[in-house]
Amino acid sequence: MSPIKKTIFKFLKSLKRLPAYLFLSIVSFFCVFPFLWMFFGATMTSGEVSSGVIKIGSNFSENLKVLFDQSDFMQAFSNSVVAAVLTTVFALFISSLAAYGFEIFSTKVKNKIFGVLLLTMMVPFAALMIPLYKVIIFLDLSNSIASLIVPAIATVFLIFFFKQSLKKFPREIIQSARIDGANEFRIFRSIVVPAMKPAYAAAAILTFMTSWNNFLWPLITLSSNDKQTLPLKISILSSSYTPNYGVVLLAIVIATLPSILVFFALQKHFVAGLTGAVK
Amino acid sequence: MKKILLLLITLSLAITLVACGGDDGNQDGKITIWAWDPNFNIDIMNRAKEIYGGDVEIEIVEMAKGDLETKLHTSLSTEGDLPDIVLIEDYMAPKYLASYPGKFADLSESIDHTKFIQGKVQIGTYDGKQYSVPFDSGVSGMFIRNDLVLDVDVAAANLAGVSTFDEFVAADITWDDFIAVGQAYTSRTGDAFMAQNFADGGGFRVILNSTQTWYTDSSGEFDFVGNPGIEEAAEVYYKIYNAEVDYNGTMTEIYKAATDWGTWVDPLSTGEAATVTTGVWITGTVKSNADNSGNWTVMKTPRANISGAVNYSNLGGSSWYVIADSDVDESVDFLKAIYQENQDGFYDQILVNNGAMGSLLAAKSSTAYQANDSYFSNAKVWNDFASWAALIPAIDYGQFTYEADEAIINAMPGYLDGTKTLTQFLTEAETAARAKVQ
Amino acid sequence: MLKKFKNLSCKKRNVVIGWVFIIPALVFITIFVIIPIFYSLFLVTQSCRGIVCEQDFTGNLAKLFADVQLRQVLINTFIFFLIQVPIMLTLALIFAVILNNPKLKFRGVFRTAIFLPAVTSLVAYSVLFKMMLAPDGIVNSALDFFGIGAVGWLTHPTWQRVTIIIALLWRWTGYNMIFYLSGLQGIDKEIFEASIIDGATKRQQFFKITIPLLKPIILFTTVMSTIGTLQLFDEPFNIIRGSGTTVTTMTLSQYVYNLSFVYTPNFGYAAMIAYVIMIFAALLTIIQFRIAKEDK
Repeated sequence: MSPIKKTIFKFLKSLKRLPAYLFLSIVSFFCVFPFLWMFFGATMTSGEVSSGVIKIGSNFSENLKVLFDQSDFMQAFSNSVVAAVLTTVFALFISSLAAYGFEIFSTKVKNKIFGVLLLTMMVPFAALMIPLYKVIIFLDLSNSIASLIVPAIATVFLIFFFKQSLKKFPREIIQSARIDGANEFRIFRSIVVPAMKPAYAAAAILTFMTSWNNFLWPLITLSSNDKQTLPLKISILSSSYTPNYGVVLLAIVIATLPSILVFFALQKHFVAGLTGAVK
Repeated sequence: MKKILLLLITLSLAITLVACGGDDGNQDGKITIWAWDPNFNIDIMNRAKEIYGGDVEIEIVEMAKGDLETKLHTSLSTEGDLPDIVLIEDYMAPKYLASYPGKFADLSESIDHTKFIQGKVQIGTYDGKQYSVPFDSGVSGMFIRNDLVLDVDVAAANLAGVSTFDEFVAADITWDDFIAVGQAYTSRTGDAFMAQNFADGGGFRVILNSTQTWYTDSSGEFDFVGNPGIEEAAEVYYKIYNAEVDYNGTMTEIYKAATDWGTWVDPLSTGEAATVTTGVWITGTVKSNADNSGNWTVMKTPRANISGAVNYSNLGGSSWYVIADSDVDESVDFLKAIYQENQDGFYDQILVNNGAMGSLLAAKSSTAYQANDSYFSNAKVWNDFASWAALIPAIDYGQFTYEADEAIINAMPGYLDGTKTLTQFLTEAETAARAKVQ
Repeated sequence: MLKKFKNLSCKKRNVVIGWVFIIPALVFITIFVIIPIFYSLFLVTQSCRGIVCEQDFTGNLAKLFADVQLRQVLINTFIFFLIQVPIMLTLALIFAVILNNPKLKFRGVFRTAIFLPAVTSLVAYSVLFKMMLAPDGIVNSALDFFGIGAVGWLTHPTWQRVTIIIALLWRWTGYNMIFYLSGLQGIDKEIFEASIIDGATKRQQFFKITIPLLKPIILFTTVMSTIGTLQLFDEPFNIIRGSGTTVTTMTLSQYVYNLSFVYTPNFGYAAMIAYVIMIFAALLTIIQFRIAKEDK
């Protein structure tokens, strides 16, 4: 085929995907637009924001100054970071361990217990938050960052997710490792975990975000300015008698950045299948 | 196996480290105060803290109002972390006092309640005992733009004995008068006369309060159908909603639709609303727009069209409560010095700086209250508000204000657009309200 | 004890080891989930006004069946569930499959863009949506500009439902897409290559290979979305409340919240309604598990 024909052919072929690109672009625009509006708003004055203008305003440094003069914004940021990171690390470890136990070593009894656990997931948090608060008070953990971390370590949600992810894991590999004499924890650590990287990455992102964005529970269990987390601060900012919209949007921007960063850091594990590890 | 154990041990160690910081809350020699709004309540308490001086450490914890209420419920019902002093909105107070008996400190002996506006004291009274230190008054008034609303609008409204703007603001007008002027204004300018959020019960309660009625009668039963005060408030809302006028060929409403606090407050600085009728606490927000100095006039609240109604009403207002089993003595000393004894002219300071009107009767005769306010063209607005505050009909809010609010708001749309009669609307609302009371 | 362990048969040993994996999680769950559940079950038998409580289980039950607001709230919640969940999961799957194609350019960009909404806190995005959908907010301004006219997103009973559904789709589609993407990564490429040799079309590949292999993850997302939507709270609470009537958008969880913190607090009845939610969620989950098993 002549070079000209080749290029034309390639071009036509790529056109086939045009609908897909168009579709994705429209969808992406809808997804991203509120963020754009948020970023622009963080640079404007309050009046400009409520008048519906979209532009890069000149109020960014002013908004920053106001935000950090407010009590404890950076403290709240660090509280949120500590809670989210620790929760993610511990939750991933303990929950995936449990999921492995439920799935690979499944017995009738374990299955029944898992069924019960699933049931517990369906009880709305609204019903549990007061009893849970009582437990926290009893353990003397109220108004502490630990009270944000500890109840979230073993979530049925994560156990369920890891369990489902393990269902398709080839059991022969585990069997052959056993025959080779490896002990179970070694198998888990050296074979299963690396192969489950996409699942761990997804779970990490979601656990981090859940903890980071958690509002109702921190509201209940935290009661001093220096322990509050970011969502609480944002609620305070946006419900003032004279809300400063530019500052509120700036706070939301700052509050959203860490989650975006965590996603960027981990998302490459969704790329280029790691099915090679299975071999 | 060993690794698991090791991990669990590390985990527990990590937790204990992070756990250090559990607050003891009560009885720790430090006064903890929970309140909302940085520019008003919190700023005022900070000022009080400075004035008080003293050895006691005072910490003010800020929360959003709704969040504070949620947290207060959870902590009161579970022996959770509680402050020493907490701010509670007057409409909410009876509910807390009745639902958590014994959890609030009885202040009947330690505070001299005769020194405060009796209406406010009543709200904080339960079972014969007084629990509150009355704080800010929500005495209402109408703020109107004197540069936007003109004589010609008043004249076009054809009100008896009133034909100029100045006569209008000096008169005891009714809601019908208000709407008539609004229609004249909108048909001339195309702009809204006021901002209105039909999903917020505030305006409704202003009218109710001025007619000396409330959602519940003296025995605590809901009483909507056939209740003159409620029917009148509903009719005023109906008139405002349907008061469209022709502006250059388009039918225009005289109100600007608001959907939350921000969209309700913004039009005040942009001029998209020429009036606002609400509690005196809006003054701070109004004044925050320096460009409009001299453009606002304060007048009396419009009157409902039934016998017994007056041109004085109230919206909002809160009081301070002390939690039982906390640092009660220290808290009472602090509250007494500031709010009862008016240390260092506290009430004048918060009036001038925050636009806050306290409820201490004696404070009203001070120079600050008598001063001319340059923002309002040297009118003695504080004196006006103070004298109106004394004339607000005292109301027993009962425990179910917010249930009633929600029932009324949810049933109202059909009535406003004509698909339900007044009686249908109120019957439906009353049934819904009853169902919410468990 | 270790000696006893070493003396067990291989099979029995495995059972014990399996328990060792599970026990740490179980301890945490027992303390922080099971115990609170027991206490809340106790509350179900009480009727309260604040802390003034009395035993009244039958009263609570009777109230349940007579509660008109409960019926409305059930309808609202189920409408959200039946409309939003299928749309969202289908979209998420489509996005995941499209984005899983290594030949597509800018995959990272699209993937990030679609997932971005999932990253916002519920309070933050509700504030954003409320501001954008205000009567003269940016969306209505754009609609006016294009001649379509403003819509009562926050105030009109039917449009409020649309608003919530759009908000949910915006927020959660990317979230579910991540699950599907992670599941797709686990599918062996060779299966696809073999099927192409066998002459399979893209469509056949999708329905005969992709979906069956993704079944565990699909089941996971349907169950989680079911539970999540039945427990829906933040969006109606933060976006609609205070802007318009709550008749068509108040959900079960919002009702529970109101019963505890807005109306005179009746923690007992609130707990009962919470368990109503749980029962529905459990039924729907069981149904979904059955359907998944049958297809095997």
